[in-house]
Amino acid sequence: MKYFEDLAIIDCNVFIGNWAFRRLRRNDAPGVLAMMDDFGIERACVASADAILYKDCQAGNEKLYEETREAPDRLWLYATLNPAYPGWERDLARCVDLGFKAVRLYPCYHGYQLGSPEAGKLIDAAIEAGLPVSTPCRVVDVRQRHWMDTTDNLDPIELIEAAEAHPKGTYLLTESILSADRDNDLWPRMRALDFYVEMSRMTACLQNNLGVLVEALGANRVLFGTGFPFKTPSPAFLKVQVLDADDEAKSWIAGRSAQRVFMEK
Amino acid sequence: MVIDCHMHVRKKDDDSLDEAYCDWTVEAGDLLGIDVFCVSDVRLQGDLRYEDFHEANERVKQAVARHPDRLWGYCFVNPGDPRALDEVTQRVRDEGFVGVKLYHQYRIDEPVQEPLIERCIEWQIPILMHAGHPTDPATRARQPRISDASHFANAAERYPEAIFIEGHIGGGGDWEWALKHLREAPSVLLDTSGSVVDEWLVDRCVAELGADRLLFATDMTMEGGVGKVLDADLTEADRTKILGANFEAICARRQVS
Repeated sequence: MKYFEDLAIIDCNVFIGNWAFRRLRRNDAPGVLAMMDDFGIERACVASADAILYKDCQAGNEKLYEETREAPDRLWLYATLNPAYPGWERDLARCVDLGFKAVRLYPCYHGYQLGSPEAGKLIDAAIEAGLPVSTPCRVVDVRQRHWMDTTDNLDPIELIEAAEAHPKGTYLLTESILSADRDNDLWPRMRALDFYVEMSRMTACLQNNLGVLVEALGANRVLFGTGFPFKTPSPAFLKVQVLDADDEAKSWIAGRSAQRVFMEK
Repeated sequence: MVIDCHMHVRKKDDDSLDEAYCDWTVEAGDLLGIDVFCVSDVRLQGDLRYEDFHEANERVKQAVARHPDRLWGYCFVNPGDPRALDEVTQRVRDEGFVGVKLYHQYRIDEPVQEPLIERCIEWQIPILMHAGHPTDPATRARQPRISDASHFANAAERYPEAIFIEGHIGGGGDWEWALKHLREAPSVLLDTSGSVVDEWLVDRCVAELGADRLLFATDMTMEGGVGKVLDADLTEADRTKILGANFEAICARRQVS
């Protein structure tokens, strides 16, 4: 089902790989590419689902690279790294060499704080390498967590504070619900940074926190994302479709914001 | 007709109906192709007195009057209150509400529910209940008496003629756990609502339970509620059933006298 024939869509929230706690489907490269074709998605930014739970994240990154190397123009890769595990410096360098486009961090899964010195070192290294830093607030809804899964979600303020401590970086917040009022002081703090928010958990109906996000942060800071294959794609498309915003704003959300992050920096 | 069988109205700070929210709901329906919303007004925490649910149902009545072609009412009660049945009689028999909505004051299989269930069987009206199997300690602590699929299975075993709707399979609890139980409780229906839009969720519900037992709903997750049903690999006949025909069939069973 193609929702937008005239927009170049970049999906910034996609995974490839297995999740230990629930069977996923269409979670390999052919499956993701088929979904992209079905929905008219030009490019996707993909993280390794395996790497979240591997002790050695780099094994997941390598697997992701191998699986996607036939489609480098359509699949851009997040390098999942853990600053609390040895050797991330070399892993980061390896991922840069392989052409990964951004760093992905999971503090709730890997047991550290984004404001910690160890995370700060990794963020500085990502900035030095010219890679954005991406952090999801969650992978799954904790209310349906497996008994061995985390009970914690990342508070978006943690990424904002980390970004303020390292203001030269580019930051992508995914899987968040930012339901702040228009006059909340979070918005100018984010605007002062190179800070982007992915929209798959926001809504354009009723409370319309997506509309507030666009108005308060700017459409050029909002990234389209589906969360596939953890989540089904149509909700994200419907949100953009029903959003009360002009075509210019929707084109930024659909892909131009991501293009700015991943292609123009 | 597309029918959202699990939606809400809300009140303003002065306890009056939030009319703007009703209008936004209808506008969202226009945008997303939802013809009718079945709405209730529930109190989430604290003691629930007769005056509380009576006022809540009064707001639902006002909402339905505001959009009579788009909103249908559920009667929300605390089944432990001695006037619960009177309230159901007033709202369902006299004012045309389509069914009963329960929250987590009591579990669905507790004896206190029996007079209410028996009245709903007599009238062949549905009982929609907030439900789930939350697996995180915080949610479980907040809702110690939430009904899960095992409680619905118990109630359905005792009352197979009842029209039980387990609320929001995407409401955040372990939906795979719920499906395992509901396979053994063939009379229990399930609504698709909730903020969880897991890929494969609706498909799995249909595969495990059959399309006849699934009812489309949003519970305020508008785009997600619609999108997860659109994305499921279903026959168009099954999708039509889920999106509204199943709930229309429930309404056709009504025998309120």
